[in-house]
Amino acid sequence: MIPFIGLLIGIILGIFLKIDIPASYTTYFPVAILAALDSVFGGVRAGIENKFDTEIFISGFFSNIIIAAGLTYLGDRLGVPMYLAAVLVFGSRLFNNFAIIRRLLIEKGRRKVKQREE
Amino acid sequence: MKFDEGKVLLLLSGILTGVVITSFIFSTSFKQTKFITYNEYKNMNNEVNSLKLEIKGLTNDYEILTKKLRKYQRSDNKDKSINDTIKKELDEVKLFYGLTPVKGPGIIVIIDDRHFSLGDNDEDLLMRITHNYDLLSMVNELRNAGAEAIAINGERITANTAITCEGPITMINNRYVVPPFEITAIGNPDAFEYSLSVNESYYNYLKDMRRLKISFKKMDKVIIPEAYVGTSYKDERLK
Repeated sequence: MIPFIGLLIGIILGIFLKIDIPASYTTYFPVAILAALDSVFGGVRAGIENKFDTEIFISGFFSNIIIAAGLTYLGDRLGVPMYLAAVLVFGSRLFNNFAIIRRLLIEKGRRKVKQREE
Repeated sequence: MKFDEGKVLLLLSGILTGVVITSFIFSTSFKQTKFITYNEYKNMNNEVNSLKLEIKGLTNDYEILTKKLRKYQRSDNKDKSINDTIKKELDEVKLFYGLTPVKGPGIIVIIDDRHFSLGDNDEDLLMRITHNYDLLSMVNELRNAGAEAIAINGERITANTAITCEGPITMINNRYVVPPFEITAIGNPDAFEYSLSVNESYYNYLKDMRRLKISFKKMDKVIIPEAYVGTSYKDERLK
């Protein structure tokens, strides 16, 4: 639950702060956002599975963002839309994570219901 | 609630992501995805490519022009500084040569002939008038005392000045001057006073031996006019 709360706080903060992002970075930010979102949901999933590791989470969060932006830059340089790779990978992982989170939550709910019935 | 490092980090990363998302959404204009056919895509791609080429060319031009502009500016600066230096030098040369009027602290020495008295012989006659070499010696004495600019009756003494005896009259810079002679000099007034008042000075010789009417006045400010540069001055033989 915590990352969702953080996301909400961040969104509200962003609305009020109105940070200006330079126009030249507009190609890199969407990919970086995807990477960040992926890390956050990965963290949520790990939290639910009780496998959460702070170091892995933080290193993943930042290195994913940096690699995604770097790949996009490299793709721009080479004339190959490399950001598609990042979008594909992070997108599919997002869906994966969502699916697993959903399953885990449903299982948890069922267990609770069972316990109550007992 | 128990403090958990991992939870805090999760919260912080969530906040960071949220802030980035919202600021990105706010700072970029929203455009709906448009579906196009392959032909449209091909045409647009061609257009994009040609525009990209154009941009590349324009960027190249811009870089070249910027380089050129910088070069011009740099050489312009250089020329300007050289001009300024030369102008300053010229002003200094003019100042020291005496082509500009100057003012400053200094001294005024007034020399007048002793008036005629009965029973004077020829020698006395020669003694009581101011000669050109008297003026020359006075000028030398003032120069020794550190005079930076000297004029006699408004005639600036420069490197080319001649002070000559023309019979009954004295000539400075090819122009006649008559007594009383007023020698103005710019320099340290105290130094002038000292060098004029020592016993061996030419000033005291004129005063005590020749008994001319001579006196000096220390001044806070004297004005010395520029040198008269007549048509006779030519530099055609200078090499």
